[in-house]
Amino acid sequence: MWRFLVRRAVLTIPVLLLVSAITFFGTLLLPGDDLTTFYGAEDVDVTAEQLAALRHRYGLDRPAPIRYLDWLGDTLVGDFGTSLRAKEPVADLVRQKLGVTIWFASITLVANVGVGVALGIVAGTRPGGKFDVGATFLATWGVATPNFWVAILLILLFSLKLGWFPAAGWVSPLEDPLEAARHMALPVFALGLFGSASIMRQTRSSFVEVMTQDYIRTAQAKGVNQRNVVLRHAMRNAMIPVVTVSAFQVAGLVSGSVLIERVFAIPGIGRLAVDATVFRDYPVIQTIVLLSAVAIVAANFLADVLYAVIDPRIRYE
Amino acid sequence: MTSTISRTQTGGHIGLGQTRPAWLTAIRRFYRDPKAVIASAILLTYLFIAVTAPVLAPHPVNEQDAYRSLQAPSWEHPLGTDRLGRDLLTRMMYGTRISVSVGLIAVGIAAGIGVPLGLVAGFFGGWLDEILMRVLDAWIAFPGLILIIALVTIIGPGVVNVMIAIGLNAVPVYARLIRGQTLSVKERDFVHAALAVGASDPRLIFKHILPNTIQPVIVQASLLVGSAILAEAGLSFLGIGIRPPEPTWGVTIQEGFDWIRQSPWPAVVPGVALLLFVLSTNFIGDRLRDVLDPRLRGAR
Repeated sequence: MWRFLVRRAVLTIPVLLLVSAITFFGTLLLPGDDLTTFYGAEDVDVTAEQLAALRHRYGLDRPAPIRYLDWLGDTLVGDFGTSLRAKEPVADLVRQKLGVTIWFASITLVANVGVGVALGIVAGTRPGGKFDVGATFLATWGVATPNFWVAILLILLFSLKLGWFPAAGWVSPLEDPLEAARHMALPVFALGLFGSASIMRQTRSSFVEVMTQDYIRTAQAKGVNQRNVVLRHAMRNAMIPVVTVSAFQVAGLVSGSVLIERVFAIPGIGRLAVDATVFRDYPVIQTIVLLSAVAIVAANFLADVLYAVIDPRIRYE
Repeated sequence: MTSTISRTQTGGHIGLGQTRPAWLTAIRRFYRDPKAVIASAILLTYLFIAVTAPVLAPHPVNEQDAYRSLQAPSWEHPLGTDRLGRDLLTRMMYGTRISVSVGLIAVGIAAGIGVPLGLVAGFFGGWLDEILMRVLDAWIAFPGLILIIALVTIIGPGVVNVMIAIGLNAVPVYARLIRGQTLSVKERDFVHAALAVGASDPRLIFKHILPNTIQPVIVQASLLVGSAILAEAGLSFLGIGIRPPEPTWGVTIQEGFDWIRQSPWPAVVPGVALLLFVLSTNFIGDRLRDVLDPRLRGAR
């Protein structure tokens, strides 16, 4: 298992390097450079000679590959540059918001997997049954509904009409778990709808397939009760594709949280990204793009580790 | 014995009697599902509205009326009005034009770049394939909306740039799909035969391999149009895609959301249009896959 982990971890290094290179060289496509953007925004008069001197001083006149290595070195030690708008280190800006989004996205992910897998098992072990038809129908709608619009409908019904949940805001779960839950209920539902619908569809179809296999029939024939057949015999083999879909969800959660954070005025990374885009604050955008890609590479790595835990054969391939 | 005979008979029957072209058979199979009929009808309606909006719309698209701000539906305004008193039905119809074209053109861009990349990578293999695929792996590591937001930051907002950003984001989907198809098609006998009689590389690619990868391209297109339209709506809702006063569905939802306590209509109505559109393209995509994918044939 350790050998597998190490080998798999080493494989992520080239992907991470490519991701960082795309992030860095992507911003070079922007018109101008740090200084023209900076002074353009400030509306300060600087002569061409002064700009050239400043460029030399900050090393902007060096070839792009060298600057990339320099940037990569800074990034690795947590120095993401300075925000053009807030004039603060990007690392500080991001740190404040990151915690909120991580809480929000992880709680949604756990809810998605829980709800999706549970519904998928019930639907998939009795395909064609009433529950299956109903759940599949709902899932079809769930994957087609825009999540920010669902969020608006939820606010209309549960906040403005019934007054059960707040329409906006954020409370840290560490400070006041109960109030945090009240604030998070609607956002988690809106963000999680798509994810749990697709996890449910995947769980269902893999259970439908696994349940027709010979070893399941053997288990049933020798008198194992249905509960154990499903949870012990079928589960392990049915879970592999579910893990894949769940890992995909991480990308969807990062994207989706940008929209949901806007609707519920949650002060997370998504909010920061939108503001940074409006002001073309590209050191902030660059950092968010890089961090989200790293999160997804990490999620895929975790998924691979989970495969190996679920199916020991994978460790020896 | 009996089964052999009946099989030969059926086979003979198809061979002699029915010369129906394959695409017609596929269309007939496709419409055997009533949901596919409904979904097609809905999409045709959207297309019709998109084309005829300037003629059919009951009001001028930007006509404001301060005395009729945020009204509920009435005979005069069947879907109500927005904050500036503009007719929502009219804006929805014009929005259909923008949303449908963003969806189609974004998918066109994705296919236009992704399909050639996939063909080249799959056909030539080797280091070229290795490099292309690793870059695409990294590309996919960026979450969709974040990548689109970053692209819009670089190239700026606006209808055309939003199409480009959404299209570029979907390029790897096509490139990987077509590469896989190319890998399997290029080992088929008819390609080997063409190679043996001296066909050039471009001829092999365009004449023999490309036509055999078209079906998954179509299936994927119908699924991607839906997500492209959702992406546009999301971006415009965030205020960083297409900007007001363009009447896209996302813009209308965003403007409506700010006044939701006064009137829910402007925020809710465009979502219904979005939902129906995406539901229909998803149905059609799934159905096309069932009909066109040989592996699933006989599964139902």
